[in-house]
Amino acid sequence: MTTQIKKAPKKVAARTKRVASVTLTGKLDRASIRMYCLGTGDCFVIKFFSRKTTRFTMMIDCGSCQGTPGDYQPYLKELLEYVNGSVDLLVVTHEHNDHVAGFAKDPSIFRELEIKEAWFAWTENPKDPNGHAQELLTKRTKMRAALQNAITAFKDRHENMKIGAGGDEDNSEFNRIMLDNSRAFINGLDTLATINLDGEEDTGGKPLPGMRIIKEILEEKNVKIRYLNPGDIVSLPNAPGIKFNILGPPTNRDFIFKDGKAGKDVFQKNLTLNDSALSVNAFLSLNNTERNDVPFISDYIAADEAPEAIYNASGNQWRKINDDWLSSAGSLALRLNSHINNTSLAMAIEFEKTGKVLLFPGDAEYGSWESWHQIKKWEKKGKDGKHLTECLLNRTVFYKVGHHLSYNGTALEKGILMMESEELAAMATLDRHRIAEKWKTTMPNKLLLQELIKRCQGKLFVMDEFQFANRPSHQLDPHTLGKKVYEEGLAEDESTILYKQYTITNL
Amino acid sequence: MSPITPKSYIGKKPPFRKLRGYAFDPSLSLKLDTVAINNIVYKVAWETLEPGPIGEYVEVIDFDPTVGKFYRAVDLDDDYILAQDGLDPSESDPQFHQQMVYAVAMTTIKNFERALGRKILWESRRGLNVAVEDEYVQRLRIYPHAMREANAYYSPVKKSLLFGYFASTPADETLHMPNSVVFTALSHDIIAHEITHAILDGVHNYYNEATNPDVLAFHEAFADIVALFQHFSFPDVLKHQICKTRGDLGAQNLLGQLAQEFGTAVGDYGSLRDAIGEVDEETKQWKPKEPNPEDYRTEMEPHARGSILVAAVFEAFLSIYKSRIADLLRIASNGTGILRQGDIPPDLVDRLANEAAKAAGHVLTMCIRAIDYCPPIDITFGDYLRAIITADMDIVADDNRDYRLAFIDAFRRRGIYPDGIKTLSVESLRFPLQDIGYMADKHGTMMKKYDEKNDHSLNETTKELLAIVNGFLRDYGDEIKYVNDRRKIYYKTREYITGLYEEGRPHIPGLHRRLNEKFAESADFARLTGLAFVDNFADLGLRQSSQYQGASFQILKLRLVTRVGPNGTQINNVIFSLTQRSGVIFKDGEITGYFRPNANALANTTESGDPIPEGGFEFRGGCTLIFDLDTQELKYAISKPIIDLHSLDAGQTPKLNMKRIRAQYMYQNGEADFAINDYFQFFGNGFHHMTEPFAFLHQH
Repeated sequence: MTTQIKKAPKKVAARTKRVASVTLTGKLDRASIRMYCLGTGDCFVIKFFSRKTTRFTMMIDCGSCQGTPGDYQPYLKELLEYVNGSVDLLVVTHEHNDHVAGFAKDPSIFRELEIKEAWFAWTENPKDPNGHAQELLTKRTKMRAALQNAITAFKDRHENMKIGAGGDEDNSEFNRIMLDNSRAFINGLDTLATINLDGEEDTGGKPLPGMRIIKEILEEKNVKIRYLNPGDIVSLPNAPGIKFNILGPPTNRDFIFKDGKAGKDVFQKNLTLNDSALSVNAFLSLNNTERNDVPFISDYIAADEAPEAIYNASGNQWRKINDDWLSSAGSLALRLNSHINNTSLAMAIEFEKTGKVLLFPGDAEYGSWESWHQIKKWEKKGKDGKHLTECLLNRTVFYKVGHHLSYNGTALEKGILMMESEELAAMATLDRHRIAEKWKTTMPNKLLLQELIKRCQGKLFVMDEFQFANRPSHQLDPHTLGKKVYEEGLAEDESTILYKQYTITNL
Repeated sequence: MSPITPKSYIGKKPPFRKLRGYAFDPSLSLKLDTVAINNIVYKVAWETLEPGPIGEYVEVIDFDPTVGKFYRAVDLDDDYILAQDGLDPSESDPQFHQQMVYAVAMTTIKNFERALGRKILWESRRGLNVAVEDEYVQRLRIYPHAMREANAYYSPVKKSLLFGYFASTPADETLHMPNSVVFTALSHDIIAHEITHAILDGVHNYYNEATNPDVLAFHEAFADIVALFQHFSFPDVLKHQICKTRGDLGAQNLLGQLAQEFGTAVGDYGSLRDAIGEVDEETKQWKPKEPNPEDYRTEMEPHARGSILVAAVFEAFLSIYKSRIADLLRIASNGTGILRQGDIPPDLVDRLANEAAKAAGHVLTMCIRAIDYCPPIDITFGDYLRAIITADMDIVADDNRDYRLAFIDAFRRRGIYPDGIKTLSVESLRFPLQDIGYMADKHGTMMKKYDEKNDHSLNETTKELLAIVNGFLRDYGDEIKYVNDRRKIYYKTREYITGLYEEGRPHIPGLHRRLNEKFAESADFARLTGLAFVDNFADLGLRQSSQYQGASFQILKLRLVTRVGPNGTQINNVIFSLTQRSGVIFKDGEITGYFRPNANALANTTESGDPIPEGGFEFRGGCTLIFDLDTQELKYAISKPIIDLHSLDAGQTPKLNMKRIRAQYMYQNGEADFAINDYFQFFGNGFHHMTEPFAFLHQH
């Protein structure tokens, strides 16, 4: 009897339109979230089921901060098999290499893959009606070019220091320390450059190859693209019973540059994202022989050589500051990085029947998190007159941890502390084997890790727990949850874990 | 009668050079209600100046490396400029910027000299293998336009202040024009803050080494305290605010609010003052923040931690101010405590403002003086409280306004307790007075003092030897007393430390040699200073002195201090510090071995040139010794012991101080989360050898 009931509508559907067929079947009530372990960076496939049948497949991002095309190959091969050559929805959260690099490593895979629809944040829309996206993109391009210039200049300085250091025997120890510190600084710049820049010089701040290529492929294949705004609530006919609530990126630019207060809003304070327009200008004109954006009228430029003579006097060489200002490249890099993180497409996938939520914030930082709570359309739309965002957070049962467990990827009072569900589980895409060098200093943030383990009662699945003092698996061994809940996929030689998967039922 | 023309006027040098400037920063000149108080005249002690301005203490060099250009240097002796009390305050005139940094820098320097009772010397270029004659740094260099960032910092390596400028994205677009250029060199608080870093570095050069969470926080907080109370010592600035109090007797709230407003005008430079108070979200009224002792235990980020100290000192100031104006309020309100409605009379405003300025001046002086009573390394807020109390007791015998209690109470409420004292009272907080019981008579021979207080902790030989040292220091004091040339002070002092060994003249052994010969293995001196003047020093990872017997040690900052208190009390002290370092190999909470550090403190090898073993790090001990020249006593020994004093007392083989080693190791090698800020995490190189610590600290 049951088989008959099940089959009957299917036949009807085949005769009528395909879309209608899906709406007639049962709603989605189970989801398997698969995290590909490519190295620190995001690549997710989520399959939604109704009973035993896969109804809807979505993919979010594909990147890692490291890796050659060869390194990606086994993972992407497995992915292609798993989705059976087709995804219903591809979501690209933001333009950082640890989220998009994979698209450029082997474009043929993505040419092969059937993609039915693709979503980007409004900030990627080249035809944004308000012109804000274009403005942000121009700014981003400028900042990238400036940063690239500054890094080149900084490295030149480093080379000069090496030469200078060799000739100065008396102060060799001191020069060694200066060089060490300079090298550490370059490491920091490189870490941020790895994900923000495409690694080639003089590209003029062009978009990253991963982003460029996936957009080209989507255009070639004529895939339907949507650019989403906060407050949008999307339902798809082939994904019945779920709603995609779009949280970010914020449309108000102030939030993109906003900073939280340590201990209240975030676990650790972030840089104030002050406009760095002046240093950007200076870096952009670094290679010009005449740099002319002087902040004063030209009458004030010294005509005689008196100040210069003192500055350049032989006994005063040690006090010169010609290159010290280049360290502004550091704060510029952090600003660029945060700014792009805050353009992340953040979404709460909500199950209509149970109200449970899967939260995928990309790498949104505090400014974005705060803006979610101020989406006008959602005011008083939650339970008991609460803002809908707060309710969504209250009902979150799965959280993709923002920004690889760093201090600024998860809001505190307006984020993690609102996730009250008993069923909460989380996945974090951090692997300290495969990570840009200086990220190790900020990831994982100890306090955030501690809070997550507590709230998830140990159900925090980290890509790799290497070098964690506080291991979530010590609290709860995920294998004890059983294969229906937690599963790991090994490579053919069984030496590496290709993916970790968490399945939620009763959605 | 022949007319007197100015040319023939035979006058004295003027005492001041008057220079106009901003009391806050340019943004307040744009508001009608604050424009009147924002322009003030700085009275800077007169000195001969070169264009720059370049004077005795500072040189302003206006090179802008971001465009590779020099800006015209201002000549403050120009007739036109002299005639109008300096250039007109203006954001668009870089020459005014030069005048502003000069005026504030000199005002701060003079405040320090007045409080400390001696001339300010910048930290020398020691340790960099420069020739002796190049060691002395006469002038701090100031670059008013050094970078394009919302940042300003003191560079210990270049002995320079670097100020940045940036395009503003203002929180309040009605005050700052969006994308207008903001110059950090135009803010009184930022300039005062940065130059205080430089001055403190000249007194305690090891305070750049983050050995516990308080050290860098102290540097920040101290710089902010100086900037804040210097600001409050201008009465005109306060009058405006007090006028607004009208019938409200809670004038102290307005002062707190004002203190915070000083800081917030440029970006969030004022984050240090967040702990003072906040605006209540409901009533929109500013209210002081209730201190939470938990903060001092948990807050590790230097600015947030420093803000606890700033708030404590500010609370002490408010209590002092309140007690100073209680009588005025009674008079003005006919004893009812309630003022009439409407504006308060201008005379009362003047008196209240003067009392506030006076209290601020006193607090500033107390805070500055205290740095002479601090240990040379590893300072904690508790040490600083003890230093404040001790310094004040030395000079103000009668604390009739209970200033000291105000401080103790404010610190106590924030859970800041000094280590190792049993009760929190003025007497127990004062560092213990030492009495060596001997003095030199006029022939230089030692004799027992009649009023000996029988301090039995030291044996007779030690006491006698200390008295000899005291005699030597008195010679130093006599010689240095009338020297005004800072260069001479520096080199004369150096001579007294290292000794004078010129050919053809009798050799004069220096302080270093004298201490070494007398105390190389003196258990008494080891107990007194907490340093490894013990025979097994080589087993504890200490180097042997290259010239003498015994463990190597460093003498720092020998200085003569002459101060006069409010009741005419005069103080003549000679102060110097000793430090020692030891190489410790530390694993799993225990010492597993030792290594002897390289003589060159900057090297990353051991004494013999081998790489530093795994788990190895350098551990320092230090002691500040204060000798009283008048009573011929060693007055205080303020110590951060390198050795375990219990092991000495128990007659065991001396050991290193495990408690301090463990604390330092845990702090420096703990989890990375407790770093200064994310900028430091990304671009820094750990706590060791931070060449530009303040560039990192001031990143926001």
